[in-house]
This record gives sequence, C-alpha cells and structure tokens, in this order.
Amino acid sequence: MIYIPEVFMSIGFLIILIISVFVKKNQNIVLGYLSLLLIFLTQFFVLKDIFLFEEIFNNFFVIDSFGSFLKSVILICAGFVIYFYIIVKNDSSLNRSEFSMIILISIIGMMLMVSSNDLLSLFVSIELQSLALYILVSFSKEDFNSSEAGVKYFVIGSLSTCIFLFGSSLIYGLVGSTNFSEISQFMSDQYSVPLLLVVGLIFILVSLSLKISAAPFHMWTPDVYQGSPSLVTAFLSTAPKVAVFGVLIRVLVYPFGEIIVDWGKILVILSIFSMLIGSLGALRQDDLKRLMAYSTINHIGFILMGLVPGSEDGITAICIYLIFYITMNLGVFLFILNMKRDQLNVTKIKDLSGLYKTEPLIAGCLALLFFSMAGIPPLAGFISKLLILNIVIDNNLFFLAIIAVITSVISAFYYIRLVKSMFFDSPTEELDLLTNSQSKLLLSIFGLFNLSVIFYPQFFLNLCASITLSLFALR
Amino acid sequence: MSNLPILPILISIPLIGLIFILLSSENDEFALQSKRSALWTSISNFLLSLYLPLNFDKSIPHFQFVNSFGWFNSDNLKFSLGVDGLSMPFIVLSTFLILLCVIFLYPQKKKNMRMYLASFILLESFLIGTFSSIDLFSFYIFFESILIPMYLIIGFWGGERRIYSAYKFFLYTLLGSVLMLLAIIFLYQEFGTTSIPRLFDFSLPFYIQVWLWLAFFASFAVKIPMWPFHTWLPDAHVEAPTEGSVILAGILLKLGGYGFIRFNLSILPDASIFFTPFIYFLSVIAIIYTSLIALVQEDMKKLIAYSSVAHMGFVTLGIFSSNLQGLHGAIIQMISHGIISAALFFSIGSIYNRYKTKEINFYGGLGHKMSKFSVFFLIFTLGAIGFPGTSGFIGEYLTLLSVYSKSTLVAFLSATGVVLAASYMLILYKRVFLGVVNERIEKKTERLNIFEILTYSILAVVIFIFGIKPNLILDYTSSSLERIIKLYPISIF
Repeated sequence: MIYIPEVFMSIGFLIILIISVFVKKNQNIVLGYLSLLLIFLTQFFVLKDIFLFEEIFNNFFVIDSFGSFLKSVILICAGFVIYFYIIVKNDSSLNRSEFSMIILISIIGMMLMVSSNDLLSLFVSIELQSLALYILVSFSKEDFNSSEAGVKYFVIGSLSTCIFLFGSSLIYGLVGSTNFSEISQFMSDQYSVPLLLVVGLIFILVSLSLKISAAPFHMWTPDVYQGSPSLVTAFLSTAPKVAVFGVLIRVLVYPFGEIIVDWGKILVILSIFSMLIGSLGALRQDDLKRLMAYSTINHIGFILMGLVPGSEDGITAICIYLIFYITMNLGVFLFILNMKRDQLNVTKIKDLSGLYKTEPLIAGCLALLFFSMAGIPPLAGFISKLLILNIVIDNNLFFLAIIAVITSVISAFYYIRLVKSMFFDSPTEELDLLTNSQSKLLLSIFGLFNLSVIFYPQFFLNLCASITLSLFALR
Repeated sequence: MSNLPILPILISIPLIGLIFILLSSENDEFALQSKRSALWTSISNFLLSLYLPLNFDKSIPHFQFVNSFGWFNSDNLKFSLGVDGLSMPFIVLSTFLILLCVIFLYPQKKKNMRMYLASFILLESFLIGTFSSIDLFSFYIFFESILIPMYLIIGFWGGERRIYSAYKFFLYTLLGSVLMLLAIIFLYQEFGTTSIPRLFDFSLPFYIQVWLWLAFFASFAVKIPMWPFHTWLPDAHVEAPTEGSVILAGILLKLGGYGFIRFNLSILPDASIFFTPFIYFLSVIAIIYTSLIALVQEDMKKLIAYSSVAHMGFVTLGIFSSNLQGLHGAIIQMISHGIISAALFFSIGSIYNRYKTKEINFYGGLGHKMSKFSVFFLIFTLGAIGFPGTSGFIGEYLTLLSVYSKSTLVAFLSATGVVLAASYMLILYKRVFLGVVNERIEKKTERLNIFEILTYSILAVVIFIFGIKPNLILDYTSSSLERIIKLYPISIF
C-alpha cells in the first residue's frame, strides 16, 4: 500500500466526522486537537516514503520526493493554521465543528494535486480543494463581507475551472490522452508542436494563475483576503499557494518541458505584472489584510521568475522561497489574529501604532518579519530573493532582474511603513493584545527563524536540491 | 602571524554585549546598567581592534588575518573575513567613534536609552563586518544590514521630521544597493566566485565593466553621497540624534568611498578610467555647489551636512585620480573627515542639549560663556577648513596635488572649495561664539561635563596627530594601494 498518506488522511477524516456528532457544541477544540493529531500522523507517513518513486492507479498519480516534500509543507501549514485555531479564540463565527474538518478536506485535495500525473486527476483534486476553500472563505455566516468574499471567490474559481477544462480538452483532442507521460511522449515525437497545443497550455496557465493570484488575474485576491476570516486568510495565503505552485512546476516542467520557449515568455509577463501590481497596489492600502494580499501578489511574481528557465536550480530556489514565505506569512497572520480592541477584531494599519510601547518583544518580532518580507539582509527573505535573482541573472534576464529589484524597493516602502507605525507612532488606542502566551512564543519562534536562517542556508539548499532532483532524474 | 581569529571576535563581541544590554534592567532613570554594559563592550572592542594595527604586516599588500567559514555549500561562496591596508584604518575608526558615542551618551538621559545603546552596538558589529568582508555576498549582507539599526535610530530618536527623513534614508540607500546586488550576482555567475582577492585576477570586457561600474556606482554614490544623489543626507543629519549624525557622517559615508576603491577601482579599472571625467564633473559641482548652499544655511547641522558633501567631493576626486597621491589623499581625507565631522556633530549636540535649538541665529557670544568649549570648537573648525597642522589639510593637499597633475582646471575649481569651506565655517564660528552675549544665552549656562571634555580632548589630539604625522595611516595603506594602482592599465596619462 503505497498511497498511504492520502488514504490514511481520508479514513482519519471520516472517523473524526463520526466523532464530531458526539462532541458537545462548546467543545469543538477537541476536534481541533484530533485533526492536529491526524495531520501529525499523516506527516509521519509522508516523510517515511519521501524517497520513493512510483506511478500508481494506472499512471493517474505519481509518488516522488518532490510531491512528498510539498505534501509535507502543506501539512505543516495546515497544522499551524489548526494550531492557531486552537490557541486563538477570537472569532466566534469560526467556533463550529466543521472548521477543522473542511481544512482537512482541502488538504486532501492539495495532497492529491501535487502528486497528480494526469490532467483528469489534477482537475478532480483541484476541484476538491477549491470547493473546501469556497466554504472556508464564507465561513462567518453573520458577516456580510465574508459571504461577499465567498461568492466572489466562487465565481472566479468556477471561471478558472472552466478555463482549465477547456485547455485540457484542447490538449486531449490533439494528444489523444490526458496523461502527462503520454503528452510528454507526444511532444518529443513531433517535429514542430502544433499551435493549438500551446493555446491549450495557455488556458491551463491562466487557470492556475487565477489560483495563485498572479497578476493580471489577481483581482479577487484583495477582496477575498479582506473579507474572509483572518484564520482562513492565513490558510489561503499559504497552503493552496504551495499546492498550486507544485502543480505549475510539475505541469510545465514535465509534459510541456519541450515548449519552454513559449511558456517562459508568458511567465515573464505574469511575473512582471505581479511584481508591479503587488508593489504599487499596496502603497495606498490602509487595511493590513488587504496589504498582505498585495504583498502575496508581489511575492508570487518573485517566485514565478524562478520558474522561467525551468531549471533544477530555479525550482530549488522556488522551494526555499516558499518555505520562508510561509513562515513570514504565518507569523504575520498569527499577529493579525490576535489584534483586538474592545472585543472587536481590527485589521487597520493604524491599529498597529505604538505597539512597541506596549509589547516590545512582539513588535520586534513582527518588524523582523516585515523586514524579511522586504528582503533586507541578513533575514530569510533576503536569502530567498537572492537565490531567485541568482537564477534570473544566470539566464541573462537582466531587465527582469532590474524590474524585480526596483519593485522590491517599492514594496520595502510599505513594509517599513508598517515598522514605522509600530515603532515611531504614538498609540491612539491600545490594542488588547496577545492574551495568550502561546501566540507570543510562536511569533518569537517565527521571528527567530527568519533571523537565524543566515547561519545555515546550506541546510535548506541541500534539502530542496535533493528534492527537486527527483523531478528531473526520473524522466 | 598569530592565529587569533581577531575579526570574528571583533564582530561577535558587540553581539554578546548586545545580549547584556538587552537583559539589563531599565528601572533607574539613567539606565546605568545598560550604559555600563555598552561602555565595557565598546572599550574592549576598541582595545581589541588595536590588535590589528599592532600585528599588521605593512609590507604585504594582500589580505591578512583571513578567516573563512563555509556558508552556502559551495567552495566559492564563503563567509570570508580579512583586512588589508585599505580596510584596517576604517575598522579602528569605527570602534573608536562608537566608543566616543557611548562615552558622550554616558551622562545623558534619553527615552528608551537601552534600545538606543543596543542599536549602536549592533551597528558596530555590522560596520566591522562590512569593512572586513572579503567576499562580495558577506559584504553586501553587512552593508545592507546597517540600514535596519540606522533606520530605527533616525526614526525613533530623531527630531520633528524624523519619519520622513528615515524613509528617505532607507529607500535611497536601498535603491542604490539593490542594483549593486545584481552586479554582485552577475560577477558570481561570470567567475563562479565572489571572493574579492580572487576577483582581482580576472578581467572583464569593457562593455560589461561599464554596466557593472554603473551598478556599483549607484550604490556608493548614494552612500558617499555625490552631488545629485545627496539630498537624503541633509534631511537625515538634521533629524538624526547627535550620536546618529556622528556615526552617519563619521563612518557610513566612508562606506561609499571604501566601496569605490574596493570595487569600482580594483575590479573594474577600465570602466573607472572611462568614467573619470564624469566623476570629476560631479565632484567639482558637489564641492562648489554644496559649499555655496552651506554658506546660507540657518541650521548648524544642515551646514555641516552640506559641508560633508563638499568634503566627500574631494574624496571622489582623489579616488579617481588613480595615482598613489590621490588615493592617499582620499583615505586621509575620509579618516580626517570621519574624526572632524564627528567632533563637530558632537559639539553641536553639546550646544543643542543645553539650548534645545540648532538655529544659528539663536546664538551669539557663546565663547564668553563657554570658553573651553569655544577653543575646542575652533580646533574642529580649523580642521574642517583644512588648516595646515590639522588632518584636514593633508587630505585636501594631497588630493589637489594629484588632480593638478591630471587637469589644472579641475584642480583650480575644486580649490575654490577650500576657500568656501573657510568662509562658511568661520562665519558659523563667528555667529555662534563671537560677538555680544545675547540675553537668551545669558539666562542659562552650563559648563562642559567631564565626559564631554574627555571626548573633545581625544578628538582634538587625534586631529593634530594625523595632521602632523599622516604616515601613521599611510604606512599601512600604501602597499595595498600600490597593488590597486598596478591594476590600472594606463594609470598615468
């Protein structure tokens, strides 16, 4: 039985579902702990088989270390989000038994996504995770914004689905198969690749860009990020991005590796747009969650650059970037979750002001995270940006590198604006902050991690390099 | 040579001190505990940094005290530290000025003194790291890290428009240095190494050198700062607290000059020759234009800030004259400006602490009330003018000498800067210290405290020592500089 993690996860999920019937209404935390336990055990199964390679279910899925690594990252993200759910009880609307279980479903979807080896299985698993996410976004029933965000996300998501299906059907019509290895075979047999195939690929690319919110397909991101409950935003900005990036890498590098000239250009355009919109759009924002949405778009643009050459080093850099990006994002959202004044959740930037006076340690850690996002050395964000830029310059894409660094200076402006309001502004009204010591501890760990990565970057480099090897070695 | 890993020790002592400072209690008003920790840290680091000149082999032009650590798992990308004659004086200057800052701060009260001291001690570690890195990536990391403590120093403890100035400082410098990052990555891709001593052995085609030169120039021209890129400096200086200005003028500006010599001149000699007229043009404008602006300033700190830009004009002239005199002149000018401008900013800080204004018009006849202080200030003023006998003279003299051999016109134009410097500095002295004692000053006088006297005496003595015996520095630098000059294809034209 090779396909253990997903099967185990599904069975575990069903068991928790049964248990949930017997759990009293005000004791949903128990379910959170159970889900956390399930994620832990699944993580164990994932890591146990991390160096395995096998194609299963009639080539529908592939088990390789790249996929297993991404699964592990996704599980870590989800584990943190559920842990946040347990320790921070700020949002009463989330206090329903379904919450952790819907997260579990979406993780199962994501885990299937990153190991799909066929357009059909990919489609089904993308739908599985998306449907779960639509529910999560509109989870606060009473909140008008949350419902609005849910509808918006659903409409855009269905559009993305349609586009994906259309692209797949074009490819199927030409190749006669939806399997990645057969598409790859078809490509290498052809003397020149038919244009319609490229069109099909472009449709798939657009659909995936909608999922990772790469500009110009980013329109939904700020609204959805702002509207959905903060905990859901934390989840939305980490795990699905990792999963979709995994899919993007797998689709582009493996079956469509032959036409890198075509999709490379598209990725360049996508990344330039994302970086520009992500940095310029955030300048005028006054809401922290909205600003994080633009920051995500900016980071996505940066990560996409690493995929342009489609090389092993590039994908290693992307994996490292994703890991650091997750730690930064989770840290910031953990703080946003704890922002509260007079029993109401607040997310405005001006609510940060004077944080240093009341909570110097938290302000310091948060400043580290923001500086890290801005890519100031010696923090983790710098190392990841350095690795990506290294790839870009290695491939002589100088104009892209220059745009990247200039936009990252622009984005540094809004990150240091956040640091400014925490350290230099006098507080207008104090927040009732971080009543639980666990969030404090966790936030300090995130900050410390970002600070200390400079001493052992080779660890991540080795890890990710050995992971990406599997993607290339076994063609 | 002994095997003491002196450079890693110098970098890590402030970090250890930082822990003590952060752990110290802030219960008493003066934050004595943290001040003591900071003082001990900076004293021990200064004394240890003297190990470098004492054990330095002057005849070797190469890097000494080299320590390398594996970093990214590649043989060519290491975390390497080492000093040569060029960087050694700057390391000692950094530890010296930080020590003076801590001494100067000792009797003062300030909000959040503990964090203030911590920022300076952190800055010290980064500065030593920057000057002693002999790997491009570790250089860049230290070079950029400086932004974080400096941003906090200006933004948290600065004056009224501190936030605007902190932004401007941060973004200007960041924009310059990210372009340098691209150039560094390019060099790494091209040669497969980022070790600076090994980069000396390679040469690049001219058209690539030009682009790389411009990328490095963008970073260092902002830092030093040269004429059209200088606008952040007056704002940053005016708003920064006294000690912040001291470090900014004393050491951070020198990073630009150091970078020009270390990278633009050594690694990209052909492009440096090509761009020499361009640099001359900017430097001459900087010297004349900013001196004229300094003449009409009403704010003491702004005046000194503009004079810094003018003085740095001499440095760039000297650096790109590409002969030994010019480089020597530039180095002496940088060190002496580091000391003199630090002294002037300390003095302005002393006045400001007493009267809470930096407006020149407010003062008059201060000399009658604070006679000792007026003597010190006169010494510093003369140093800034470049009076013979002070260290300022040596730098300007050597620079002008080397420029004269290249172009009479440039030498003539830049020499007017010396005259202008004399006029704005002497006018400043006259308006503040001489004349009738005005009633605003009459009301409130306070003598110099022992810490201030100590600071000023040390600075004055150092100014005279280097003015009379510049060889104390030049002996160390000459062999390394000769090596750089040798890389020049047509150094004498």
